[in-house]
Amino acid sequence: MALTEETVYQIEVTRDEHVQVRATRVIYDDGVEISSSHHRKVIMPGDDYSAESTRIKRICQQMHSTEAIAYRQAFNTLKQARENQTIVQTVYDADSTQANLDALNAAIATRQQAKIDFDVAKVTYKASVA
Amino acid sequence: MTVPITPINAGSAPGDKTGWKARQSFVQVNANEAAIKVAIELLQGRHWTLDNAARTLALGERIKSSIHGGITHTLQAVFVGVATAERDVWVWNADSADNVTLAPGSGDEIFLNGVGQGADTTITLTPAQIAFCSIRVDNASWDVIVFGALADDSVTYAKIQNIVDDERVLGRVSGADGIIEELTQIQVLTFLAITNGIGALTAGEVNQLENIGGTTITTADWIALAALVGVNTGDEVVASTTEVTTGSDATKYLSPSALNGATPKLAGIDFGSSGAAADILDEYEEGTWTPVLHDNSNSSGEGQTYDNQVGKYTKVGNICHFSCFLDVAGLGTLTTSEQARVAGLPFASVSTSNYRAGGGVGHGSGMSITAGTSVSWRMEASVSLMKLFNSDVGTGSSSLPISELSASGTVSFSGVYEVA
Repeated sequence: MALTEETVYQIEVTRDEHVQVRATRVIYDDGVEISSSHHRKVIMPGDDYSAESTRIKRICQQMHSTEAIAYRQAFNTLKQARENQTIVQTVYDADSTQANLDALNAAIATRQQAKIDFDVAKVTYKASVA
Repeated sequence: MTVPITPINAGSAPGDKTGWKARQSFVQVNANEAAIKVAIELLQGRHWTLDNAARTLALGERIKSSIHGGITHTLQAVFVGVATAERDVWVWNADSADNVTLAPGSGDEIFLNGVGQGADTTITLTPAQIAFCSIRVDNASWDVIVFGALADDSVTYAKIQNIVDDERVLGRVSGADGIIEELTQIQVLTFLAITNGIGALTAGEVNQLENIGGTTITTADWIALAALVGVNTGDEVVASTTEVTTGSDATKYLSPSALNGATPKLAGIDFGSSGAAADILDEYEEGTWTPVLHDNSNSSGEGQTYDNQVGKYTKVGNICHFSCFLDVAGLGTLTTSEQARVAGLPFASVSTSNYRAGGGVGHGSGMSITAGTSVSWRMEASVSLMKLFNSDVGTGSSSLPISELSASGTVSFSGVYEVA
């Protein structure tokens, strides 16, 4: 009886260049598969994949282009700006001071700029993959 | 036990080897209530010699005859009321080409020993006589039974071979000519050049499915079988009591018995009648994932450390069921004022605009939150992470900063979300 193992990767790229990785560890007994188990992760544009296997790194390098990473970051920034505006709005609604109003206006401006940046990044990204 | 022998009719004196022309000699042996009657008819013969007609003969003692000259003789022996072991008639046939015809009575048995001192000597039993006899041949080097004309139906299956084990077929696989042998299943398959199990299936080898045994059926085998029964990519496979059908119809049926114990690989199961994607269950998978703690930078490289990171998932269709146990040991350089995020989920969430999934954290410990509040998680569109919240405001929940999760916090929870 000789036990051996190998890891088999199933890699798929979904919308927005998410690289979904399924690593299947397969155990063999004299060449006959006796068990296997899956482990998954998702690598998004902008994520650090330097510790991944060569094969995964190649795919991430190919899919996570500068445009894709910028689009993803703009998306995250816009989401964060929206959430921040909601929080500041709540604070202002509870305490309508000038300082809170200034903070709300700043949050609105940030969100608006984030939306402009997101739209630009989206167009740039879409053009890069068209 | 001994009994006297009383000659009834002797043609000439014993020992007269040249002039004894008697047609018949009768010897009767009486043994208490039992009796032995031996009738010897010499149709033509030189002489018949009893050791001594006047002497006492023991039951079972040899009656010796010496028959010569290539002439057919008839020995008729009748045994009455004597045990089988005592019906022992010995016939010496000293010369070659002597033929002896024995005519036993109904129910009698005659044992022939020492016959065949001449290599071409034969003993002939007529069919009527065979009906009364059992034949036993003891000496393999001399005693041979030759059937001049044996009817086809005289040899039954039972007479061919008494097979000693089950699942055997008679044949021969040994390298040289010889008698038939009992062939095992493997030998039969080898003889027929069929692999035990499924190799590259052809139409004529489908029956091998009955002989699979412990052999693993590979994907290629199933594909080959599907091709044989006419199931093509995109065909529907419907559980039915109907046997497998062939043909070009779009719908194929596999019987429950055909699926029993097997692991068929299917493109999906359609629970509707329209064939719409929303009605098709097309994926199932179990596995693990590794939960990690992130701040807004979404990086795992900030020196975070953990005592436990346990994540499991089961994906059914487009729904991922997951569980998470995250036991933080150190925050590294995470920005503690930023919202705690649990990342590393096995699938990205669906990209539907404004999609949200959420749930409560079932158990937490080691955190620095306000007593009486509870922690929850929320997942948004097109991400593989969850943000943590605390129900510490009147409007609902606020972001849970990493500082409140703390460097010794643990969270245990499970939930579901729709995948991309």
